[in-house]
Amino acid sequence: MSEPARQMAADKSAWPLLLRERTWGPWRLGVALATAGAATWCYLIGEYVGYYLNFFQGSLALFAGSMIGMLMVLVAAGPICIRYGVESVASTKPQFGSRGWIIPALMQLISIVGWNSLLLIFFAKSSAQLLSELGALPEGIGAGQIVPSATALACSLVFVGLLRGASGVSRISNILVLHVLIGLWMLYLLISQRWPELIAARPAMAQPDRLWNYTTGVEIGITALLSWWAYIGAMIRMAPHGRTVALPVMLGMGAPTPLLCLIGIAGVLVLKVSDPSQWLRSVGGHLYAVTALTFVAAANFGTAITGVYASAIGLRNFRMLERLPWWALLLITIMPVAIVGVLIPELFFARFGAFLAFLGVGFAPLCGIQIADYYLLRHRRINIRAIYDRSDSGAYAYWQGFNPAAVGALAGGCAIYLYLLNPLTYESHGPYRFLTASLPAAFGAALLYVLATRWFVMPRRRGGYE
Amino acid sequence: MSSEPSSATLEQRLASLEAGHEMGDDFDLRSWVWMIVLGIVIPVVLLGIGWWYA
Repeated sequence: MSEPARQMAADKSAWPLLLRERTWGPWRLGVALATAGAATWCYLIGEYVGYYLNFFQGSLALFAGSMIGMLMVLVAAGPICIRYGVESVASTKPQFGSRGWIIPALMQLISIVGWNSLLLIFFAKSSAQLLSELGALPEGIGAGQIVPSATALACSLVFVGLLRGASGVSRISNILVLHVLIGLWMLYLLISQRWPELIAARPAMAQPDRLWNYTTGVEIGITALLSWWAYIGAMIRMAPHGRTVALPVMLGMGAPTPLLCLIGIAGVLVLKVSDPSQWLRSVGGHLYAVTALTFVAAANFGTAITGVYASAIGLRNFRMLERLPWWALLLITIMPVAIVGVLIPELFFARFGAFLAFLGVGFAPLCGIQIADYYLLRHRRINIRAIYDRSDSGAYAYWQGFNPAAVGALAGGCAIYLYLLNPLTYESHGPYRFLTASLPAAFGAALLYVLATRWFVMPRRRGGYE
Repeated sequence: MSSEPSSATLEQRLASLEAGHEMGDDFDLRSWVWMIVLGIVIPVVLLGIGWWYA
């Protein structure tokens, strides 16, 4: 196999990339991450913050929470992905075991399928509205009627775009990154035209407890960015070193997301609608509406491309999918998204809040476990061969491939989160108003993992701890 | 069946990584400074501003 062909094949597998194959510099990585991060979810996340906080406090709380969440994800999955060129799911094998990694793999799959369904439904809706705005729809056909077929078309475009693997992600990102600037322009437009109303606006669901509202804004920011755990490994493994990755992740992925979320906060506070494709017409007329709809479509498409790529690479960890042709793997990855988007788009939209809640419950403890294992227990030493060793004698085989310490700590972390905050009703207990729910869940899971490993796993010489 | 790398390639990859010359570097001191500033210091400052000046 020639060198270029070998490299192209490598970035379609879950196997570790070699240093010479990891050619993305900081700029290329930052552009890809910014394109992935900036999407319609920003408006929805901003909308949820706007229910509890005014524009000033909401912006600061969301930005702070987002950067904290981004740091957690980077410190958790980053080191193993960067050093060995593996993706997020493979980075969990030292903690969860040679079969236990299926738990984070399922979390990744559900997360990405959920986000992608949302994004591609949004893509389809905005494309349909765009056609309607341009007068390009056949007579007698409403925008809503073509959403299923537009979703199917979007899935097809994602499939074609990803046939070339990570290079397809990068190429499309280079074009679509412009939408971040359009998003900032929309924010400027809303702020400059409606500033007095924006400052005077009061959040619709604010509680009497100001601290609770503020903490909830931070919590939403952390939770939203924690979901990047599922995506980040597949992207950062394309860059060769930690110093190439740190700033692009924090500035390219961490910062644009809360910035574009401000559109959602401002929209819901002033116009009671977070989606700019709905309010830009009233602010700026037909031309602005067309611009916004184009932006929304482009933004979601860029993120969906990254998501499907990350999900497909994650699925490669399953033995039965390891040698499947890339196109077939892409089909398997896209199919659930297409089914949700075509058959139950409205139902999925209505359940977005519950979906967002699930992300924090699961990913916060996962990050805590990974950080504790890598820095405190393994002292930054990983056995790369054991990550790919499926035998019962491998260093990460634990007990039948599962590490009870990790599974128990994950369950404990989830329980801590659910005790502190019911993510469906936002009913809270205990020190939530001071600590958030994600941070104690991550810390609690890390503590449980360390104690269980030191007292139970290490004495039995399992897990490859030296 | 596919153009994906064979298992022999995986063995070569693992050997190269174990030898160390195909392994990437972890975060260096400068990376940690940026990460702490952007992920802890600035968020804490922003939270303080948002709370006290609201």
